[in-house]
Amino acid sequence: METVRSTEKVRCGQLSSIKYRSSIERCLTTSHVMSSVSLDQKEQVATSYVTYADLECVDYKYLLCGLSDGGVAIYDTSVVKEGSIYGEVGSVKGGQRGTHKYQVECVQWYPADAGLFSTSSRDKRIKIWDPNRMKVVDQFDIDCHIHHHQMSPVATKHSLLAVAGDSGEVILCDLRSGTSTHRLRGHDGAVRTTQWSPRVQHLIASSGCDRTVRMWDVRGSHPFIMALDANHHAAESFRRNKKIKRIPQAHKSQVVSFCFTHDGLWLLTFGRDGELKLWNSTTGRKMDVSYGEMFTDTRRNLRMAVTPSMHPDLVFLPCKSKVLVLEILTGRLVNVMSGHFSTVFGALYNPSSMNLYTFGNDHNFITWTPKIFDVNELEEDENRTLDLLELPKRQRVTQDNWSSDED
Amino acid sequence: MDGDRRAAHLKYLVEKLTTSGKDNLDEEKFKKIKKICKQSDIYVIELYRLVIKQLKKKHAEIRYSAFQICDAIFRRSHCFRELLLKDFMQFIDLALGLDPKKPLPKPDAVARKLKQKCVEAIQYWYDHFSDGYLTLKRAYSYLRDCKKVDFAELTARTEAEQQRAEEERRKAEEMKNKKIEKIKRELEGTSDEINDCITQFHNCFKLLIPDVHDFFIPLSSEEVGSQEESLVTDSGKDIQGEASYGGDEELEEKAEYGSEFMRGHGIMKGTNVKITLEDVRKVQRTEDNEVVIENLKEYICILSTKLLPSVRRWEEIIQPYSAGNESLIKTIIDHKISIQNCVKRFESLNIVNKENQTVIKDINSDSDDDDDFIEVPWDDPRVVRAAASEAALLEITKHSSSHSTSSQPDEPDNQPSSSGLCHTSSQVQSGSSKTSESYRFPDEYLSKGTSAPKRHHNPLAGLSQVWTATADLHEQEEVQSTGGILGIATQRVNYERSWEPVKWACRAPLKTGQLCPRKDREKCPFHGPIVPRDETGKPLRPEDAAREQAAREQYERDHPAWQDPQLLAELKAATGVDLKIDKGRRKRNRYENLTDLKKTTPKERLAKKVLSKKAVRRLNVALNKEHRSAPNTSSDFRFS
Repeated sequence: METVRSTEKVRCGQLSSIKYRSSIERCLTTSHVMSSVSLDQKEQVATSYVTYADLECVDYKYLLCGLSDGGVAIYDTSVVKEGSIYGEVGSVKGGQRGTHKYQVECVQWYPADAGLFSTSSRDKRIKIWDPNRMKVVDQFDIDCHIHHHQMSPVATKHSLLAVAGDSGEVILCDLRSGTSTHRLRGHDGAVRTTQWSPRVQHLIASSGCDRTVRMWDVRGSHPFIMALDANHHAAESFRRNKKIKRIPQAHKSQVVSFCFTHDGLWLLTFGRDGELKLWNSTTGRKMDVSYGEMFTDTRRNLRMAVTPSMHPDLVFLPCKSKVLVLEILTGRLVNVMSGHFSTVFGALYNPSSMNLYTFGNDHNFITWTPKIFDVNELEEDENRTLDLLELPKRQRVTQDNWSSDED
Repeated sequence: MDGDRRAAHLKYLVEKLTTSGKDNLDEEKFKKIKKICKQSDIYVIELYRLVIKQLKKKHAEIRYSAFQICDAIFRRSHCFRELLLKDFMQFIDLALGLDPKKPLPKPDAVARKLKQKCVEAIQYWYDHFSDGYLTLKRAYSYLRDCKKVDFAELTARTEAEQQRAEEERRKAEEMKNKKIEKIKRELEGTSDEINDCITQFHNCFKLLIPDVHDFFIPLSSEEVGSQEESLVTDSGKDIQGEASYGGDEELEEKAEYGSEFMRGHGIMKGTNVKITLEDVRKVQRTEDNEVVIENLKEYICILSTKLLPSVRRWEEIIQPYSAGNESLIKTIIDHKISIQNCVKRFESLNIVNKENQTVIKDINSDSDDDDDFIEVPWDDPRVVRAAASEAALLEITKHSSSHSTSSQPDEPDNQPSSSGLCHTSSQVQSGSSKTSESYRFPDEYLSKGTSAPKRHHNPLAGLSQVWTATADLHEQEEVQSTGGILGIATQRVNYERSWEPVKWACRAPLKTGQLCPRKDREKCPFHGPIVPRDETGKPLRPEDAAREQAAREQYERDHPAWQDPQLLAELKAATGVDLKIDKGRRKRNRYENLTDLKKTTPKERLAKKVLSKKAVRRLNVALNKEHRSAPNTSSDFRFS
């Protein structure tokens, strides 16, 4: 109904066509339903499952999955083979030469093209892969456990890989030289997540077990800029007030997930205390957006997804076994997707197909597709009298079958 | 309005069905449910709500019945499937109980069945409906991959259970290997010994009784006889003690045809007397073969007491692990059979002593199964005579012995009741040691004095009646023979209890109008302490009467006259009203068909008492005490 009204508005010139498109998209994304399309699930008991996934950001086609047995697999999301599975492009099984010893903690495509990707694991290694040959081309040995790593999506002047280390440091590895160049010290306890700003190439944010979210500038010798403070609305600046000893905390508990919005203006953080908070990424100011009660039961990093350039932007937040869809700026809950049976590890949004991919502890990988208004369905509703055998299989199965003797 | 009525009916039906406690659903009622649900999806939704509510009850039988409804409706209604799959995890938790924090409720047998059926049902649903319902597909793979539900074997076990089972299996395997290994080792070590033993036995046996087949038998049996070292005789024919001849053959040879002997036996000419020597196993012990027999006995002793039991033990141990160890088992069984053959062979042997009538004792002395002591019947005249003479020696009056026999109560009527207190009736008689007559025990003075203190010694009862510091009989005799000063050291005390029959009865009035005939010393188990009563049974003393009255009133208050079960039954039959007062505050179970979960088995009740903290502590204390006192007692024994 809303779409029809919007169409009217576009015609009258009240709404730009770009906005119209984004609002249509938004409408569709709020109506995600589970789709049958999935990864190749073997009939036998699956030995590995997806622990982390990333979508290549050039044409949003290739899905990179880190597996629990240390292997990686790449799927082509644009090709759906028979049996409702994505076509596999390449994969390396765990245990093979060059793969990680333990389960893959984090995977990321090279932001500029799909000619490189990186994986990290608990075996203290970061591996750089060539997806065309599915071979390891480089490897960083880090002296502590790795929880997360990321490359800046907008970097043009550097090719640094930020690694969230268990030792409480953000370790910067230079892909060009193949060595670790820089360490950002300050976190008390393990660093769980690092995120490069999608707007400024030298800005990096990190969150750790010490409940703080810190912003760093990698250029300077004093890289620490500020920490997000939940109590004061303006974040304390380290430079302005050097006397301050205590680093302000962003959450009451460990931060399990955080990410920049697509435009880099906002920062969303999600703590183990079940609070989602919105921050202004430039000032470190906490915005008064109430997202309602949420719960999480994991210490693991969660991957939340934000939609790029939609009219009101949406965030897909894994919350126990459900995925919540929230409007970022208003905090309105627009959809709850439940299909997983255990903790959801992450959500991935595909802007080109508007699909959402989620993976979780229940070994399932679910693709959610927007509900598409199908004319055929209406017609079929009319023709209920059709013989059961003539209906498509799905229809046939979902029929009521009361036996006739129950009259 | 009609809908409301139907919904109410649905509720009633679901409740009835789920609380039936039966294995299968009642067809009649379930058909009604299906009929209602078929009319509209509204009823299906209502049914879903009701069934889930029942499924949440903490009783496996309710859950089982609710699950059966679920399964049946799931196969029929699309709406129900959608509803169930929406909350599938909840359903799984309630019906499969995979969450270790929320296990299935009791009773366990039904819970197990519920689990089993649930897995079967999910498999069925998956096979038939998974194409139409994505959630079902995902749930299936989730259960299969994460929860390790084995759909192939249709078992749902939690991971911990699986691990435990695996561990157990591994342990059993290890144990088995260890056992087999041990047996192999033992077998290796002992097989030589067994073989040696058996060969030696056989050789000995051959020496004793040569096997007929072992050598060529010449026609003249004289040669045979001369080769034999042992004496083989037919039964009854060796009275004259013929030496070194295989009896019959030789006899036949001796008694030529037509002789007195043959005629006497009525044996005609041409008669062939066939004698199988195999069965002839009678051997007379002579000086020549004594060593051989001794050896034979020795070997058979080793074989039957040492080797055979160990072989049997191996066989027993290895029996359950027969697969894969056939050769080992075969060796063991071979050994067993050969040993058994040896033993059998030996048992068939009848060794006759040369002078068997004359000196029994000398021969008996070397056989191992003879007792050192011969049991002599008590009333043997010799014993009586000996005892009498002993008694005369010890100057024992006839009176004391007769007294002691009379102290054995023989009429059952006079059996002392356990309720009576012992110490009042028992008399302590003490007899000082024979040597020191003047020495008196204090107990003696404590006794009532009805029987004069006397020396008391009963030879027939033996010395065991006497409490002495030394238990040994021989030493006792020594003490007695030495007498004098040593006698003081051993003080004999005879505790004797004179039986006094109970002269009174309880005499409490019974319902039948009679008086209680029980004869107890202190207290009747039915009517309490025994008090003096008159002929009608009323207590003589007023305070007893008052107490009895109070007890009766108390009883009547607890059990009103109209609560008589017979009367109540009549009333119920007449009016249909059950006036029975429930004892206590216990509420009657609403669903009497269900298994009562709160009911405890006798075993549980006992376990609660026996394994309670208090009891265990008491046991520990007792054990500690015993442990500590053990060395003391051992040191005590060292003195005797």
